[in-house]
Amino acid sequence: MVPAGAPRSFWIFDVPGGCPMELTKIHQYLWEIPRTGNMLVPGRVYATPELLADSKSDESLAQVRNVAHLPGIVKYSLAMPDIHWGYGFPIGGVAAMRPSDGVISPGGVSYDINCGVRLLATQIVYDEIKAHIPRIVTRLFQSIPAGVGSSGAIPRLSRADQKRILEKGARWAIEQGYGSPEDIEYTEEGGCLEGAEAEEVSEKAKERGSTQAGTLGSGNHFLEVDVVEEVYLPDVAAAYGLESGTLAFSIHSGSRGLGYQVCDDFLSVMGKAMRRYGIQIPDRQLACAPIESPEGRRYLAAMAAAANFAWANRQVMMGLVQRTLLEALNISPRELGFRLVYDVCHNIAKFERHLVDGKAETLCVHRKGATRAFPPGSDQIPAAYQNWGQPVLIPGDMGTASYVLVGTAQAMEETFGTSCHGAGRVQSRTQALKMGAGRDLFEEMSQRGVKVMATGRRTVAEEMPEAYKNIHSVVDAIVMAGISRKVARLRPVGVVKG
Amino acid sequence: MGDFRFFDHIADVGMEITADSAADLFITAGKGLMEWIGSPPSTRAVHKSTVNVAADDMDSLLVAWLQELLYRFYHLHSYLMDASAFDLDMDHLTVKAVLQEKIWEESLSHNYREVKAVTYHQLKIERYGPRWRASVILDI
Repeated sequence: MVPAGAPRSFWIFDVPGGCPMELTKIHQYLWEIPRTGNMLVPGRVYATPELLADSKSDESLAQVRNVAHLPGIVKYSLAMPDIHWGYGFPIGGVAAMRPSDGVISPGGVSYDINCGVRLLATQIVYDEIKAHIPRIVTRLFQSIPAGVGSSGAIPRLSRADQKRILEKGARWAIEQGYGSPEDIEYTEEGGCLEGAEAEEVSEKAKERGSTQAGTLGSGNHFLEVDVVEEVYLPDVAAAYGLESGTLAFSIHSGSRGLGYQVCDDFLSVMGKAMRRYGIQIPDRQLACAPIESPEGRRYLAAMAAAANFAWANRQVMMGLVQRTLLEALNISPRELGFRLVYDVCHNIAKFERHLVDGKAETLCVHRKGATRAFPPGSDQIPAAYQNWGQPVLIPGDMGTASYVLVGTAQAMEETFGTSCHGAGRVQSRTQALKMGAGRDLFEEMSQRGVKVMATGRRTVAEEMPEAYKNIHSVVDAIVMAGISRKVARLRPVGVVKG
Repeated sequence: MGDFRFFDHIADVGMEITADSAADLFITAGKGLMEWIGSPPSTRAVHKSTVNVAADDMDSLLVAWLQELLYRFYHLHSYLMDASAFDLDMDHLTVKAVLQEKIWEESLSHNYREVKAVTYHQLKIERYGPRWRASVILDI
C-alpha cells in the first residue's frame, strides 16, 4: 500500500502538440495535474511511472486536463492506469458533475454506450474437459453472431419490441427466454437504467439496432473461455461462485450500432446547446449541455435507452452461451452450474450518491473506459455480495489474463467508486498489423493454449497481446493504490472475436 | 480530382483528404471512407439515390455527410461508388447529392471493417491556395 507522508516530487511531461505538463507525485501510484488556466479542478492519474510513460506519445494527459474545464466538475478529473487517448475524455477517464450547475457530455460516455463485461461462472472443471475446448469454442463461434455488422441472433425487432428493449433492458431479454430472473440482481443497475425514453432514440439508431440484439460486434469485443487460475481472496471468490480450476466465460460487448448512432445524434445537439448556454470548452469532442437543460435531459434519456439495449444484448448472448454449452457438452443445467457473477458497464454516465467535503451529494458520474467499484455495504450491489463488495471485471488481452477485483471504501473516497476497465492499447492497429505480418497468430495463440476463432485474421492481428499494456501492471497499479483488491485471475483458453 | 491517405492513430485511424474544391473534398472523403471499410461488392448494378444533409457549420457538415454514408453502408448495405449533382451550399450548410451506390441483399461480408463513427477529434477543414484539405479521425 501507499506509504503515508511519502515525499512529493515533480515530473515535467512533454505532451505532443502542447506545452510541457508538470505532474506532481502524490504517491507512487498517483499523480496530479495541477489546476492551471481555466481548469476548475486538478487532474489526477492513477499509474506507475512506467504506465504513465506510455501516455507520453499521445494526448491522453492533455485530455485529463481538458475534462477539468467542464462546468460543475467536482473534486478531480480522474484517470485510471489503463488511460489512453480517446475522443474528448481519455479512455480510462472519470468525472463527476453536480446536477445543479454541471454538464453531461456524450464524449464522457463514448460512442459505444454501455460497453461492458459480463462474467459467467460454471462448475465445470477445466482439466476434465480440456480436450473439448476447441469444439466448445467452435460451437460458440457458430451460435453467437460476431464481426462487422453482425446480426440475426434473434429475429428483427418489431416496433413494440424496440420500445420494450430500450425501456426494459435485460428484463426484456429474460422475458424472451434468455437467462433467468435472478440475473437482474447480478447486473449493474439491475440491467435497466432509469429514465430511458425510447422516443428520444432516433429512427436511424433504432433501425441500426433492430437486428443487432444478441450480437458481439467486432474490434475489441470478444467472448472468452477462461479458467479460474488463481484465487487471491477465497471467501470473496466463493461468494462470487468462482472456484479455482473451473471454467468461466466473459462477454465483452456494448450497444452496437444503436449506441454509436445515439452518441453521434447528440454530439450535434450538444454543439448547438453549448452556443445557447455559452459553454466554452477546449475540445469540441467534449460537447456538452447542462444536466438540467432540455438537451441534457434528452441525452440522458436516450443514453439510458442505449445502455438498456446493451444490457439486453449481453443478456441474450449469455442465454446463447448457456444453450450452446448444454448442447455441446450434453449435460444438465445442474451439472453445468451456470450463473452470472456480475455484469458491469464501463462507458456510462449515472447519478450516484457520493461524499463531497464530508457531505453526501447526488452527482452525475461519467465513466469512460472505467468500471464502477463499490465497496462492501453499498446498497447498490447484490445482497449476496454485501459483505464483500462489487465484482470489478477487468479483461486483459486475449493471450495473457483477466482479473476479477473487488471495490474498496478507498475507491469511494478517492475515485467516486471507480476502478480501471482493461489493459489499454499501447500500439495502434496499424502498428499491430505490421507486427503481425507474416505470423500465424492463430497458431501462436494455440501454442499459448488459447483456441481463437474470428471472422477475420485482421482483427486477430489488431488485437494481438503485444498491442496492449501489461494487464498485470495495470491491475497492480490500481490495487497498490488501494482502489480495488484482487479476487481472482482468469487465464483465457478460448476466444471468439469478430 | 481529390486524393486521400490514411494515417495512424492509437486505437483508430485518421484520413487526410485533399481536393480542388470543397464539393470534391466531400466526395473524396466519402470514397476514402468506403475504401477503409473495404472493396466494393461484386454486384454489377449501380443504383442512384438522392440524399440531403444539413448541419450548423462546415465541420459538422462533413461529419454528417460521412455519418450518412456509414448509415447507408452498414444498415442499407449501400456502398458509395460516386456522387453526382453534388450541391454543397456553404452559406446554408447543406449537401444535396445523387449517390451512385452498389446495393446488396445478403449479410455484410466479414471482409469489411467496422467504423463506429466519424469523430470531431482533431477535425480540420481548410483552404490552402486554390485547393482544400481536411483531416478526420474515424472511431473503429
